[in-house]
Amino acid sequence: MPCADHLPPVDLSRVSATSILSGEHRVILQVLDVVEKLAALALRDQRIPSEHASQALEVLAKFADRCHHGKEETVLFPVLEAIQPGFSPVQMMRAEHVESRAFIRAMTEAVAAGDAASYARAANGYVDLLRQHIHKEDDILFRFAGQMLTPAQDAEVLDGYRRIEHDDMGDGTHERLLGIADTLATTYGVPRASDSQQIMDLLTAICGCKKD
Amino acid sequence: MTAPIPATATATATWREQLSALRFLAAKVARVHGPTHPDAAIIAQVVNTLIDTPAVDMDTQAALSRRLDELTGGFHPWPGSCGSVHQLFTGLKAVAAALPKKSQS
Repeated sequence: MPCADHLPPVDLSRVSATSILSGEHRVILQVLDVVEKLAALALRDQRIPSEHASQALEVLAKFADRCHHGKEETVLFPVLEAIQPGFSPVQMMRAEHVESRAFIRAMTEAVAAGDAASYARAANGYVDLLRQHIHKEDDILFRFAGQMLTPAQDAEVLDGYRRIEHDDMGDGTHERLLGIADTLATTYGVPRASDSQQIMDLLTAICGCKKD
Repeated sequence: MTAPIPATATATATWREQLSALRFLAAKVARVHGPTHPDAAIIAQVVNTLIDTPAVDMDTQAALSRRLDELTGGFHPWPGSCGSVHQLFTGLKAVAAALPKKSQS
């Protein structure tokens, strides 16, 4: 695999198969900052801030995993693998998604049991994994993807995202989860990704009734 | 034992949380449907203004609630509009119901 450094970064100023996902990464990173603070509080107080931990888990399970990873695993990755069979970065990303789900399960179980130490351990493991994972996707995989996809394939991928966001998740669910992510960020003093107009435009680009 | 949270504070927190999600829906509707429904952009602006309005400023909240009612024609989705518009108008109607109806002064 050649180095990705010579390839242009994802262009966040226009809607594309990769910019939509990079925009969502900014929200996930925002929630990771919140989760890191929740883990520190849990360790300090030996008590999980359970309401906020549960809200963050809902965003991680439904927005980060089901919706965002769903778009990657069922729409983008198959197209990239069809273009280049055995495309190794995709295989690595799939494996990390599986690993991330184990951390979500561990956090969920720890919240249910009120086990602050286990929650903090799983939360910090998840944060470390996802930050590195997002870095790999933004700086390596998506740079390659941007070069591999034709305009027609890019449009096909965007249509797949639309199906997941609206037909699978349901109208309004994406926005409800984004709202929770922003409320948590405000509560814990974390900057909101949506305060960037460019990111806001990407987060609201896909409507169930329209082609882009 | 901690004192119970006053009902008005709980209601305020609830509609503010609802607005947090509606901000994204309003932006989406303005972006996608703005060309055919120019009011969509104004609705998005009113939602943002409402989010920034201090909790104690009930006069402004009441005025913005009336403005949303006008802009949405009583919270009736435009004929033939999509699920996002329906979700937005339904949410705005619920928020408006929780806001003060008249100026306090």
